[in-house]
Amino acid sequence: MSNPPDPPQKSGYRRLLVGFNHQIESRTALDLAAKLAEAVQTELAGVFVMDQDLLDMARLPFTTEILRASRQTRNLDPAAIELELRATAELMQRRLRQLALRAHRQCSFRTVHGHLLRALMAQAEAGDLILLRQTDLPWPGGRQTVLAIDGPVMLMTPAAAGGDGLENLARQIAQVLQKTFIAAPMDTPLAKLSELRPGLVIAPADMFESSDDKAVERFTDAVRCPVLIAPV
Amino acid sequence: MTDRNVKHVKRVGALRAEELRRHCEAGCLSFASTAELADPEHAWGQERAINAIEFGADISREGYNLFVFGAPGAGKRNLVRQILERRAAKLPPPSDWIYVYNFAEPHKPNAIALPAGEGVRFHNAQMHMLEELRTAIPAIFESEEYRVRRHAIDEKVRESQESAFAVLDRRAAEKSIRVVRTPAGITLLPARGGELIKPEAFQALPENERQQIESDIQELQKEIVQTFESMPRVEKERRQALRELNREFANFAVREIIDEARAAFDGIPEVREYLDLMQADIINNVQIFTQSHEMQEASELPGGGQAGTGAGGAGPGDGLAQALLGNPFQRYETNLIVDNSGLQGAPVYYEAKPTVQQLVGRVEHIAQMGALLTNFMLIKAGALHQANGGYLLIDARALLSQPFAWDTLKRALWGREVRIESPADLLSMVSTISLEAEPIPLRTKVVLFGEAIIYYLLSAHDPEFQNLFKAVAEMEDVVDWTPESEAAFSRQFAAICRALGLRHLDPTGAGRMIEQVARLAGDAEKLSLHNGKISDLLREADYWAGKDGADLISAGHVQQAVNLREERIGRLRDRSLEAITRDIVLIETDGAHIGQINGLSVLSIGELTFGRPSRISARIGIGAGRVLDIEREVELGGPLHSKGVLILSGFLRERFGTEHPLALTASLVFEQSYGGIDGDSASSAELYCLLSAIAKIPINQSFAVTGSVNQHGEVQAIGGVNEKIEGFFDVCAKRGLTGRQGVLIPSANVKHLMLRADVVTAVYEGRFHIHAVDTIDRGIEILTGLPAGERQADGKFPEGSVNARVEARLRAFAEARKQADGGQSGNGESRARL
Repeated sequence: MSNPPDPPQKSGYRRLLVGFNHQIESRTALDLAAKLAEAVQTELAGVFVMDQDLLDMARLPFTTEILRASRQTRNLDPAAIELELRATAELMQRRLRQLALRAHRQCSFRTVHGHLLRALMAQAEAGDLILLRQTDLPWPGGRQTVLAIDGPVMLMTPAAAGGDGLENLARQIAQVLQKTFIAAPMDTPLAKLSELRPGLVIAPADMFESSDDKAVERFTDAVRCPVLIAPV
Repeated sequence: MTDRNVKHVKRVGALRAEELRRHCEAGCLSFASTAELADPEHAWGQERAINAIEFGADISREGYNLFVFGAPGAGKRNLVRQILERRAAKLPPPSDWIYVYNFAEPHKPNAIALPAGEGVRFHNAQMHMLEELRTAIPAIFESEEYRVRRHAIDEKVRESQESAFAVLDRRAAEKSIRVVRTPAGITLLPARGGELIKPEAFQALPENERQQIESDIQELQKEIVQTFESMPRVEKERRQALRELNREFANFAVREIIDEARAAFDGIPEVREYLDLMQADIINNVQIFTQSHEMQEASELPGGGQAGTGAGGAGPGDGLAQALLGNPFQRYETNLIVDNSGLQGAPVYYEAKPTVQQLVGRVEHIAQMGALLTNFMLIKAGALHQANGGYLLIDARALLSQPFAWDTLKRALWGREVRIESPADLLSMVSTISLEAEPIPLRTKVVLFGEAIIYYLLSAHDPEFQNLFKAVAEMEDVVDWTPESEAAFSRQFAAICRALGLRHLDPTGAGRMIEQVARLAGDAEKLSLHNGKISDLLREADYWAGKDGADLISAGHVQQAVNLREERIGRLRDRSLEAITRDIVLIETDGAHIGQINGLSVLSIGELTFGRPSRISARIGIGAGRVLDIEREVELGGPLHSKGVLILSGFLRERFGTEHPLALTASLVFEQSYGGIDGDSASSAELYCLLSAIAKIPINQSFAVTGSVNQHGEVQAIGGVNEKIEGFFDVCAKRGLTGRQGVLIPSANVKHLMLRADVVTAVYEGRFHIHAVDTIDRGIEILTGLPAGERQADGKFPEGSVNARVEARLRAFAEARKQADGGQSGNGESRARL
């Protein structure tokens, strides 16, 4: 039997920011975010992004929607889409509050319009941790978004100095989640990272400073696990 | 021993002091202390009951349950228990019983019998097995092998789906269409260079291009719908494959552990069958043992084996049972309701509170969220379970006073099975789903014990009773007072002292106890077998011996116990005596009066029994030959008293009414009697009183009289003779004994005399007298001092005799009546006929 983990220590990070929209397994993402917020003793901040592209394109007269459950088709109505997005946001907010209460964390919630990654980055403030996850495919039953931490906690070690705080954070999370801790240089090829099968990647914020959205998505898709971006 | 210890012959006349109380001479008891005496081998005087109990205990035929009856305190329960425990020790211990979960019908738990001692072993094995399973099953589902094979299933499905979606993706890309998720599904949107075409830009496209895009989207949409429609089948195949995988791994983990239990209980087919079902259920419900997300997913599939679904499908109470089981592993536990591992023989079980649930067991409930929940682990055994294979002792009165208990017991005996029922079930008050525990075969011999009246009432009013309780044992109340019984009682005293932790008795104490036991029997030739009262007297004598600082209980301590007990409970007796001595209740103990006599009665109130004199008076006149019983007229006289009065009327007719009609009317009354009177023990006194009134001869008021009379004028035995004599003696003693006072008793009661020492002493000193009489003539002579007179050859009584004076007065009445009726002869009855 393993020893019980030590009680979480306050990490010095202010908030854990988690974003979601109608496309992701938002409920599970929230669970994970709450668990990490408890592990690192931060506030929990949720950002629901209403997909502006979807709202715009719903105005096309011929657009139809194929419903996942019933496999029926129906015309895409902008008003109905917006209503459904708001309803999803409402459900997410309620869920966020429940989880934060259970984890004894303070929480906040915002709804914004835009693109998920960009909107999330725009909401981030200094001292925030940002939880990212791999992008979804539209197809139901296809590749599963991995949101359970089912492997070691991997730290992308920064090239520059000042990574001690990050390592402490990574080790703390690993201990609380009872996972092993591993480290990999930031310049490790994506294919190699994928082979390491991490359960959670902790990456310094400057790793993606010069990257575009596509690069971030490529990274999250390659590691196939949640990614926690932390300020150095 | 005195000459009183020989068998009585009929004794008539004034009794000597030594005839008034039988003594048990201490010299006849050959021990210094009852501590020297061994316990009696069997209950003395109960040989008939013992034989009957042994017969009832031994015979193993249907309906031969046993009813033991006798007076309260006779020691029925102890005697039965002793006999049955001796017999039970020679019998093998009966089976243990367990209740287990019924995997096919969860609301009907199954009962399994195991050899004695195996129940607890199986229970322990089951707990050990469960502990093993809780470790082994999660371990195997967390193994790398399982993960790999499960992943392979997922991958196969994923690849299948992704290849289909890849085709769609490629077709969409070829036609510049992007697939986008919506909150409820997906939509197809036009794109160019990977970016969506905004509505405004789309509207700006040429008409033919727009139509082409719309057409392409519609075409692709049809293909997507077709692909979607094939997905459930693929998903179903995945679930099936996953289920098979889970079963394979679960079976691997479970089989080995359960096989150990199978081997350990190989000789019990019911256990083997249960273990097979348990194994199948665990495999079907393996998610109980794993809390992983993946397993839960598999279990939620249709037909995937919900908890509570047995191998044979869901039962009617399945959902309920599952809801009740807060602990999901409890279904694999055992409820050991009868554990005979500690028994050396068959059980002898006494149920002190024979309610329905105490008899047949019960299903307990737990209140949770306002609902009453239960499961098979809450089944509790009843007395019939505990006594199964042995003997169950029940007090009949207690049984009959419990609602439905008697019917429930009969049903169990008829059906030869114990079926758990609640009073609510029996009243059909509750119709909610509850547990129906499988009945357990019953092989218990039920022994009821109670008073004779209960036995006779059940025999008379319950036609099933005789068929279910064919063995009957009746306890004796008394036993002959013989030298053998004196020895036996001494041993019995020794046993009681040992059992109760009392001081032992010296020979004087034992002798005095025996005398008191005879007094309890109300008979100088019998000893009471009322163990309860004997034990109480010993306890109290021990108390006084303790106060006295004595090591042994002696005669004085026993006497002190008797005296002080009577004093403690004697308040009413003293008030009654006081009422007489203060002349509130008029009783004369000196002088002589016509038509007035002292009768004697016995009052019993609670534990107190005492004798009390009552004045009886008679008044006569010319009439139709009727004796008026005033007590009866005002409905204070019971039927036996009325019978006595009618009998004395018969005596008068036979002796004085054959030559001429009885032109007499007479009234008889118990003076100052305000309660009911019953019994015929005063009928001789009433007859004496009537004769005195008719003959105008005074009766000596120094005497009191008891005894019933028959139509031939013979005085017959009555009950309570000792108390009656002592009651009149107390009145006389209180006023001062004159040496003329005494009591007339039937000679048949002489053998019952066990009088108090002060009465015996007074008689010995000539200050009080007890006369045994056998006829009315003898009694009237003592009471009047005149000869009764026998009818002579001329048909007449001797001049001056009581009978002559009675006949002369009656003749005069007849003449007067004849004249009053105008010369017609006959009595009122003949006139009525005319």
